[in-house]
Amino acid sequence: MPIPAQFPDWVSIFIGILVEATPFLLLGVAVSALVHVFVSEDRLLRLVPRNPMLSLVPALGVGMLMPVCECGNVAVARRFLAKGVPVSSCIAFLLAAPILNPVALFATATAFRYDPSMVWLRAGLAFVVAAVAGLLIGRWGRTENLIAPGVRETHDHDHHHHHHDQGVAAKMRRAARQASSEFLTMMQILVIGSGIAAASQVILPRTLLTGVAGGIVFAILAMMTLGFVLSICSTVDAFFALSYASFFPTPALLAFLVFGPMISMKSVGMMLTAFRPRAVLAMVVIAIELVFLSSLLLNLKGTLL
Amino acid sequence: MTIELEQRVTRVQPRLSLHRILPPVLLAGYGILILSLYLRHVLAWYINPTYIVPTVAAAGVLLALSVVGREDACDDGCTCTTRSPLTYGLLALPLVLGLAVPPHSLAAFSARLRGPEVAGLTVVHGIAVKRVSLSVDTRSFSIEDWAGALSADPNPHDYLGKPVQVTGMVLHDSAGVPPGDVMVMRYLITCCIADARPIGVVVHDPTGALKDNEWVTVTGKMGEQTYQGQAVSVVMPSKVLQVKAGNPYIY
Repeated sequence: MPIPAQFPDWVSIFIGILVEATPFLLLGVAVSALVHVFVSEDRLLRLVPRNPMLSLVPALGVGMLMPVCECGNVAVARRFLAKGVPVSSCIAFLLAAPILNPVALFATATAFRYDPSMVWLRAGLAFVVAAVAGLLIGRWGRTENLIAPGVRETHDHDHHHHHHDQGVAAKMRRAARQASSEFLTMMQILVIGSGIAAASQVILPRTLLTGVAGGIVFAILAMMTLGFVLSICSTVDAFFALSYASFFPTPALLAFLVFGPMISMKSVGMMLTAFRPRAVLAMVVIAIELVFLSSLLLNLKGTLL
Repeated sequence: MTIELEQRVTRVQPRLSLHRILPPVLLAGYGILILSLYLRHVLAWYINPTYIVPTVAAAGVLLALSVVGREDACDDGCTCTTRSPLTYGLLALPLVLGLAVPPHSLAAFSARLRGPEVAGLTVVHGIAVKRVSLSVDTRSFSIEDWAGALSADPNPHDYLGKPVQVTGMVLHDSAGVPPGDVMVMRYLITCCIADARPIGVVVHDPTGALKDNEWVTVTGKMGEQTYQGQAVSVVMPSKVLQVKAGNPYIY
């Protein structure tokens, strides 16, 4: 059987996504490992208020400050879960961090110079989706039924090891070991996600989405699908969205820019390392509904004004 | 369905267990893959050169971690991670492909799937706008420059007779360019080649001499042609040179 002509292109896109993701993934597991080794559970939990509403504030704040995109944030969210941070805060962080981080917002502002409102719409909608998903899923039964098996166990097991205080050098060694292990765990998921994303790029023509004439509903759904399938990095997807500005109205581009970084082929697999499938499914459903309805409302507002 | 990724066991692995040997080898492998692409000067075939420094730095960190982050660096009987053979296979896949398949940049035909953005026919967003007046010498204009100019001002009359010299890959695209014409194109890359956007100019080729994927330098003048009831800018070539395949990307 001859090798299909698309095969070399598939290999290149596959390797391209992985190579590009490597420094960001590494940054994520490094932050996670340092938190693991240097920040005690008690100290971390004291920072998170008991009130579910208020507990979102530090989660979204950390998401805003931390320069991790969707490749790195899962490792960090997983660490927070292991340390006993409430599920609601971890979900809010997981969904908001790829969009609310300074690099992604700056890139959005640069790409959409001609329409500065895009930055606020993107950040605002991401904030709302992350907060709603966090609050709803966080109240949905016992924590053990929401987070992936093994996440808390790791914490329990390690716990009885640090009774005695270790020196900084020993702690750094432990952080290095932790980061190495976590890098491989995340990378294996990234391999699956980027393999599928690259395959869809060399098999499916984009005109499937752009070529079919349709109303705003179709446009929004098409751009959300594209965001899910493409799985490109949230720090540059704004530039990519621009290439669709001639085909699709602003609300559809907004849907792409909010939905894609939260839920994509690349990220869903990684989320399953931290949460049980039912929790991930709930995140997907809430994100689909909220992004779709908000974009539709924005379009309505556009036609009314 | 539950994804069981890793299993922590307290039992100490024997010295020569695969669970001890494979993780550092794989970590080092990812570092070596990046370094080998860098040393072969092809890293820019996969990612935007802006990201080369952090990526190569990450490769160095991975190599360091493969030494200091080894599981057996702990000798007090602490946890060791065991993974399934499938996991090791998955992790090795990109290393095998990346090191065994010769570096390859996206072929021209991939542009058909991606939806080419053609200067003068589509408004190409997100690139520098070029203004063309009588005094501007357009001979040094790249494909990207032409796309920027024609997006800002698509009126073909403003470019009639302007000299053109562009280099790129040939692509026939019946959906994108007028019949009897081809596109000479490159890919615009923002981050990595997953976001590659094909950008091209229309070149008149009535004899059908140009073949897909061929690299050419087209010299000629800007002309116009009617396409779907609209006047569009088309390069009328006076000379077409086949050239050696180069880096198809603009960043």
